Amino acid sequence: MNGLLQDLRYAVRQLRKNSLLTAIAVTTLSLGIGATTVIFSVVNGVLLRPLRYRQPDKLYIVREIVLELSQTYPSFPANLASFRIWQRECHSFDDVAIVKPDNMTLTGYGDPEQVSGGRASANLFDVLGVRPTLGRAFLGQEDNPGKDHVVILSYPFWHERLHDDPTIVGRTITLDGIPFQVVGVLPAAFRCPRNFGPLAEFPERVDYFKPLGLDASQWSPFGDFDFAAIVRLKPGISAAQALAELNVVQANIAKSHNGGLTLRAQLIPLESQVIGSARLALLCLLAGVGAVLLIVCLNLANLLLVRVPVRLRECGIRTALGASRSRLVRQMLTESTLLAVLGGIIGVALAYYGVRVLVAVAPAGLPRIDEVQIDGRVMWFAVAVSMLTGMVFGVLPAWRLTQSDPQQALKAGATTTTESRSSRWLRTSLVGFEVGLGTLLLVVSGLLTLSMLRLLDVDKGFTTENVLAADITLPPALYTKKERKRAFWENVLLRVRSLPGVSSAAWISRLPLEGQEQVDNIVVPGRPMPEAQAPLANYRFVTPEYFQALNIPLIQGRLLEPADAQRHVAIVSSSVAEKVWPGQDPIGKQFRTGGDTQWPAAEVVGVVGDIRTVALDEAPLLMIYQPIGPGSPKWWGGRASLVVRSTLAPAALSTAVRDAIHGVDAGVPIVHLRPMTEIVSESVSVRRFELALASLFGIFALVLAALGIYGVVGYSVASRRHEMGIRIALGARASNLRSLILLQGMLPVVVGWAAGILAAIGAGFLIRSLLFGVSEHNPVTIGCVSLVVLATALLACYFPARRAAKVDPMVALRYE
Amino acid sequence: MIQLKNLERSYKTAAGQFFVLRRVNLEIREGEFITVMGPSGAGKSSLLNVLALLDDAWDGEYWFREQAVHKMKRKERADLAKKNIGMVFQSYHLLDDLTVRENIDLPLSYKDIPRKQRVGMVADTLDRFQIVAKKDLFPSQLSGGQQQLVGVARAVIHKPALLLADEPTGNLHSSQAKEIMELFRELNQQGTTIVQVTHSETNASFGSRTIQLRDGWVVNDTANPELQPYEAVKQ
Repeated sequence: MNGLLQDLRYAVRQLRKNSLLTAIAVTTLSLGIGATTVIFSVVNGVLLRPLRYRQPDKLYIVREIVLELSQTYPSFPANLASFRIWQRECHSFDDVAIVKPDNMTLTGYGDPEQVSGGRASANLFDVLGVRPTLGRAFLGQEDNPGKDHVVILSYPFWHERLHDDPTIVGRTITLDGIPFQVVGVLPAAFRCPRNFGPLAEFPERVDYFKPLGLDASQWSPFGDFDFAAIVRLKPGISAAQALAELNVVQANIAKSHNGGLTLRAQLIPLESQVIGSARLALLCLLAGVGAVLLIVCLNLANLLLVRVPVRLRECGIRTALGASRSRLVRQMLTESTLLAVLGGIIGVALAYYGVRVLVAVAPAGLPRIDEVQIDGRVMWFAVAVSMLTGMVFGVLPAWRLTQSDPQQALKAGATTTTESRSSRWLRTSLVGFEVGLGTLLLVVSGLLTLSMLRLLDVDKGFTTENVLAADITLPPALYTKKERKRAFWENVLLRVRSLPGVSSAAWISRLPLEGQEQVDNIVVPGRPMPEAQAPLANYRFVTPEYFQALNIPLIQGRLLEPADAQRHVAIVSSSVAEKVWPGQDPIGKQFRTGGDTQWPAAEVVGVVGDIRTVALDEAPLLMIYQPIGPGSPKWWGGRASLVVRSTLAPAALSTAVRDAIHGVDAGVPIVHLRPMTEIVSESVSVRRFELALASLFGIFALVLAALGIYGVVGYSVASRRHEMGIRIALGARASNLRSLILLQGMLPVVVGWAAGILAAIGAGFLIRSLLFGVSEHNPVTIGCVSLVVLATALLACYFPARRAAKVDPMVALRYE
Repeated sequence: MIQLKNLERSYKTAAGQFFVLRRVNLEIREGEFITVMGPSGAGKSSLLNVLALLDDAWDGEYWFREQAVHKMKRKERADLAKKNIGMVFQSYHLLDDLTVRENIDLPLSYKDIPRKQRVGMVADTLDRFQIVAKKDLFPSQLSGGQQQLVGVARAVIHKPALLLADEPTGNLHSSQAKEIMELFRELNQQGTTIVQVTHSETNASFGSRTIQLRDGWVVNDTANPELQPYEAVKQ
């Protein structure tokens, strides 16, 4: 202990004596450790911390599989009727709950406002193991229709909208014009599970939960797969056992329905469902920032290795006085660890703010991002990383010093000794290693960049320039009749179309890239195919000019006309035409939606191009467009999006559009009003975020590697002035010296670059799933990165090489 | 105390083996004050480095208080040197970033001696060498003679059986050199065996025995008149 304190005291003295070196080291360490801590805090918050439910390892999501449809739809969310059967017959489940997204309009608190929530079975919070912080959870009977006018509020909603009202339990709030009694408030730490996939996707913020209020007996086990089912397994039951029992139950359901379909199920741990594809991206980011930290260590090791000749005398004396090798190593590592700890302290302080900035700018689509913070585990990680960093960059210089010959160092008159060949080789090897790591990081960020460009350049099937979009929800209490709703949509369209600069305007039930909705079968009358096996399509309800507003091309037939509102017609996407009527002319053909025989079959009047419905990197889905009006009674008409194409920029038009909407009814909330380009941009926000971080690491790594090269080559030139003087005296020209230094400086760079490219090619499969439209071995990316790395290194070598060529031989030869 | 039998030290060069010590046979008794002299390149410092156990790469036999050093492993030799040997250098070789007190304490810190005991030993040494007032100064704040005094204090703090001095007064002027040599005499009278390397006849006169080296050979030893002439041995 005393020896350690002694080493610490000496280390402090050394750092103070070499204040410039200390400042450089602590600065780069704090940036490296700070960045690593920030990324680890994200990994910790998203991947490592267990979900905030009771025994989260016992929670699973159930997804249903219809084998005959699994080519197009590998699995579905759960069905209400199936849920009730599972509750009765699956004995390996402690309990099972279901929940689906819900929206209602809140009134009575200022302007009407659409709020997002969940429609859940009464036992949801029991299954999750969450108790409301105020009031109670739902009672079983509140699941029944007519008994479900109760709500449990989220903490953020209660805090922000109701100002922490302690008397809220028992009072009512009005949602969709209906009074709902508040029975509970959830804890602040509660997060609604998300990422359940299409048809059951929750928004980032959930303000309330209400009971089901549905009669399951009215529902078929096939169809309406709209619910996320969460299961808690019984103690001692494994997922495999539960799944085996569940599949037996599913088979029985299919048999009793006698629809000729095969029903199975899938059990997915809730945690991995929530985290989804973010795991790989986050682990790649952690590896990337780890590589940057390693480059920081290599740079610092090089800095300390430069000082080895200066310290050799000291180590020789210590050895002569009885210091063992391990004692010398301990002393050197104490110095480097002290540097690293200082860097770590500042790094953690930087990380604290860095995490706040990161959480603020991170896309909402990143799961659990709101749970990211610097907690005890992150602090311990920072401590461990600091200590490890100190060891990593200190061990090489320490080892070099213990290899020294004390007799050489103790020769009379020796104050310093010059750098040995092996030491020079070690330092150039470190440079090569840095260049290799930097190249690898840059290739990865280059591939991600190209991926992003390809993604943004993908044929969406529609165009977004100068298109404004507005999402509207009609307050149900005020808009009870279809005619009133229709009048609203029509009047708004009339006003918007008359605005200066507007070339087309239309309504659609759900915009592209905002997910799936109204998924149902396309049933062709007269075809001998079970309804449940018929292709599934997304149905959208639109007004004329929709296709013009988004530039969706007409391929065959005609587009919608105003008169089509009274007819049972449809426009189909080209993939629907190919799938349902292969090799035939689809114009004039008829189909029904699902098993609905209540309404006449719709007639196909036109075929349009496919569009990206869910995401830019997902293939287009089967789309059917039907006119808003009496001809399409399946659309309930309470919510729609307005798309407006104009000659003006969307920002210039938004006020006029808002006024036009409120000019028809000021009480209608506009949920969103934004350019269509923003919707496209949001759909790739997670990728963009990952790309930004990867690019930052790549650039940082390149700068560090360039500094490392400059330092090594510069030091080499400075220590070889005498040699340069001799060469010049013997007839070498400036160009000869420049070439010599450049060649020697670039050799480890070329070796490191080649190794980095090979590593990038070899490990490319790891990031394949993060790429779009780009092979992990894309030659253009590898070529561009190689150019950047080699050019940067050449520049870093050039300045010292130029200095070498300017050596005055008379001065240099007197130098020694 | 020390016996060297046919001790040789050589380096491999492109031109073949280059010997710096050749068939050295030497016996050093407890309490002797030996001076090693010879021209530059005779092997004086090399002999001292071998005696100090700083150098491993020699051949022959080295007995230290009847322990066969030539059979010991590196760690055993290092332990033997730590316990029994102290060194004084021409260039003092004090650590510039340690105070006088810390420089003197340094060899003790490598011996795992409890801190309390070390503090006492350092205090005694500072007092003995009358440098208490300078204990918190750094080497750069001392004169050459004072630095060498600290060097000697550091070398003897752990009461070594053998003190080796390589040109201890080489960087001092005559009055300082005299002080150091008188100190050595005093230490020798108190029982410390001393081997010094010097060019100075004045310094040599402080010793009780002189050994002459030339081209790595022991050519003269005042304690061994039987020693064969240099030319005959070389043949």
